[in-house]
Amino acid sequence: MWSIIWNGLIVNPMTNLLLLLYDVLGNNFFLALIVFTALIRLAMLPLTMKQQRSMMKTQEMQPQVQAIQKKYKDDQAKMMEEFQKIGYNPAESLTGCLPLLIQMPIFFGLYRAILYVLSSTPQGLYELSERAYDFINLTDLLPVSNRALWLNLGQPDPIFILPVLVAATMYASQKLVAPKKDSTKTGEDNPAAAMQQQMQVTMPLMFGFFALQFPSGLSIYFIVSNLITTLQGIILRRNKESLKAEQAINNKGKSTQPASNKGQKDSTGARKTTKNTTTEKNRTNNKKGSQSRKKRKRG
Amino acid sequence: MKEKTRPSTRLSILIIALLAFLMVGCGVQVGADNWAGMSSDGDIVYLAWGNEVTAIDIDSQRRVWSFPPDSGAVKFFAAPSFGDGSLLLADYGESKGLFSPGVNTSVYAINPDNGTLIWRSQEVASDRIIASPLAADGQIFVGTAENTVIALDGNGNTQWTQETEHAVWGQPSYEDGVVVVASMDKHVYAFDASSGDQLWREPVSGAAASKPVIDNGRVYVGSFDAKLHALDLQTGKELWTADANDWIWNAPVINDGNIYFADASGGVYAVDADDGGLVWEQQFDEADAIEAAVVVDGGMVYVPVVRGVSTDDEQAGRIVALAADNGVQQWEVPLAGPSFTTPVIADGKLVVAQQNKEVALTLTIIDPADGKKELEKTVDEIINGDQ
Repeated sequence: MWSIIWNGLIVNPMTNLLLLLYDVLGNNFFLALIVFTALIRLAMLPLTMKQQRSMMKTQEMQPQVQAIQKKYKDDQAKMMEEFQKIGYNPAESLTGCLPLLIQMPIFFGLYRAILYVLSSTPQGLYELSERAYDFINLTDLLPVSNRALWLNLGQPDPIFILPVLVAATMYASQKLVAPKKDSTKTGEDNPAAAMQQQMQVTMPLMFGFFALQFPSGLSIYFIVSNLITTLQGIILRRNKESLKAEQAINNKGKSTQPASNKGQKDSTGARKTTKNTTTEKNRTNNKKGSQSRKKRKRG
Repeated sequence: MKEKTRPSTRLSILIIALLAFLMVGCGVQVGADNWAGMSSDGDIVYLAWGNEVTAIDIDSQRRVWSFPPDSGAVKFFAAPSFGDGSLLLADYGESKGLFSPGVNTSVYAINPDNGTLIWRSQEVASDRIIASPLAADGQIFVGTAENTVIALDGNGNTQWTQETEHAVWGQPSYEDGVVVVASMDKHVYAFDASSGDQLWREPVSGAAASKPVIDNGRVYVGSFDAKLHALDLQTGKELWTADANDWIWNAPVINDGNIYFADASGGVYAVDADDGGLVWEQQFDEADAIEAAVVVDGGMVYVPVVRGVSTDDEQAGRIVALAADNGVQQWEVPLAGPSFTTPVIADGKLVVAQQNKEVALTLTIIDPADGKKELEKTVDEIINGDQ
């Protein structure tokens, strides 16, 4: 049963998509893998965008979060209540590895698909012929060329360039969306952030290590996928920054309005207020900042 | 706060451990296996499967020897072939080391009587040897998955290496100083046996995974273009083609002026060797497939038919005997599993190897006259039976 679902929904569609792309892209498996990755990432775009936005939001909330954690460390219920008020969900602090987890079925499916498409034994080819959909003209497509640059795409990179690239691109993509390290805080002050920073290093190292054994084609999937994540992160960050700049201008204009109006707005929209007033300055001085916000809210 | 993060930390460690476990598992599977290879000298069956090659005496139904004596790290799937007083083996290669993608493949000559090593030629190629080596006129010819054809002398020393554009999965053929090889690159090649010079290269419209067969100055080769091609041995010029309905996976068999072959849609064909004219055709059920070569002996054509080959279906197999002159079915024997290995005749019996993912490699000994099963045992049972 599991095998039918796994093959029917993951491995076989991927195998056929790869074959189709190989056919359309002039029998270039390297190119087919790159386009395949782009298509997969396009399909996952809403999910990954949401996740990256959430990560950035979490990153910005860290000063308030830490202040609340410190203040209500003996009152979990109150702490959660305060988190809710500022729109923070503690589970989101672990979403750094979410894209990787989402990609796991794709990763394992693609691993099998690459091995089937680049069948290196009659048994493998026989299985491929069983998996190919009717509209795929396997007779014309065979043999699928496994050569690209210095690589045999069905085997690991013999000169270890791809494993290094897998690790480097993964590190870059995670670094971009993860919270910036606060030099004034230790792991004890913020264990979740410390753990996330550990993950930023261990995950790329681990995947780089695994890439020593992956078929090169799979490493290419990871590299392209990481590059897309990085690009996505850069675009999101830029958008966020330009939005912030606009809001700063708006806030400046509003500061000329009567204080009573401003206070009213704050008391009815704490979430909005805390987001808009978070700056690098209060990141390093969060206690003070959060106390003043609390005062405003109470007032 | 610490209490809150502990479950998260544990979750992260769990995720990393799970990933590590799954990916290491994936890495192990990179080296794909293949179906068993089988050959016979008339009395003894030589079976290459997994980490060893086993000689089984069909008369006594016992193991004679296994090679290597201590099951090693290399795997054997190419059917053992016969050299000058030796049995030739080729392996799937030994890892070049941790994280090194390549393998060192070897060709072996062993004593067929006791399985002792005569010589081993190491580092013949850096990719698997799927096809059996061929011994002819004091030379040994090997096709590799590294897209090469290699000639060795009688002691295993390399004489020449020629390249093809893709893997060679079929055993080379030889006649009158000409070596012929079919490649997955959709070409048939002819090389001068002594110099290695390419004599001709003829395209066929599909990948060719099997051995070309030479007879009477002609080369016959089956291809994935669903055609049997007849080429001129001297020039490579195509003389005629005979149609099948699907991929032709295995080598044709020539007998009494006819050529017998089968396809992946359950079709069996007999054509005239002179002009490719159809003598008869037997079409099994649409769900049937034939991957292994047919065996022609004593006026009969023995066909290993595979049923339910889809990866999600339950696999089964059967052996069907057809009359060689008209293709009429004589008998049929069901098998526990599918047979992708070409059967052999040994001690007057038909010996069939069957295997699938769940069933261990099993040998079935059949009386070719009436299809009566005389033995059906796993190879492990046969091996352990002599202890």
